[in-house]
Amino acid sequence: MESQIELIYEDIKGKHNVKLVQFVGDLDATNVETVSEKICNLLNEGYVNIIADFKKLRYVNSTGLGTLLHFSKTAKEKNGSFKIANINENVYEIIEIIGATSLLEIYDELEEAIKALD
Amino acid sequence: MDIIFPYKVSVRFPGDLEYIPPIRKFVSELLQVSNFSPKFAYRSEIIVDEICNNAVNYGCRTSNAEIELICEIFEDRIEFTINDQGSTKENLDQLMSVIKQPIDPEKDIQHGLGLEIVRMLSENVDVVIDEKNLTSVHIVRKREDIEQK
Repeated sequence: MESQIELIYEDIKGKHNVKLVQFVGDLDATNVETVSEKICNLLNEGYVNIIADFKKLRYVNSTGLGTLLHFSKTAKEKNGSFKIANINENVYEIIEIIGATSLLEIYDELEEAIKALD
Repeated sequence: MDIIFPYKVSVRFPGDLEYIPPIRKFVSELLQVSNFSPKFAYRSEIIVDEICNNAVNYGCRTSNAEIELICEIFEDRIEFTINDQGSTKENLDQLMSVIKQPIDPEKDIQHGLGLEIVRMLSENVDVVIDEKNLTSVHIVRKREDIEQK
């Protein structure tokens, strides 16, 4: 049984190469391939700046974290960025434990992440 | 509901990643009904997830392999034992090196992160391998002082 995760996409007015993606549910080894394919498709379609809204992301394990690091690396290689906003305390703690807070662009609020694109 | 400590719950499941989400969520709920905090339950959910993933990925060499997870719940701690049905010496060496030495997420974003998380969230992690390469991982996680009864 695959863990439940839903990705909800939104455009941001005035930003042609940016996609806002809401992550809803749990990100783990059972659904990481599906999520990876969807995000990589966005990057390949020219949406090289992705803002990930983690407000409704309850859970991430190490496989999910590895994928987030991969998104960040791939976006940078395309001269873009993978920014994370609204992260919850539990998910942040896991990123912190593996020492990856400096490897990911993490913002408290969505507005801050959008503003950082300017 | 009055809980009488300690008690033990064990589950056997096929060596397939798809079985892990309901098991980790079950452990989390079990801990919360046993008066552990939601944060303790969440951290324990991560431990179960990571160590079961590891057992499936490295300890299931046949299609009908099974994993056994034993949870022993005490008033002040939880102990997990995960038994798989056979690892290789190479996998065990990798496991032990990660337990003993922290990994660098910048250099290695796909391997070793899970065990690093388990190591950081646990008081003790022991790995035992027998002469048939059957691996048993034992983890102790204590209740945080702040939530001691």
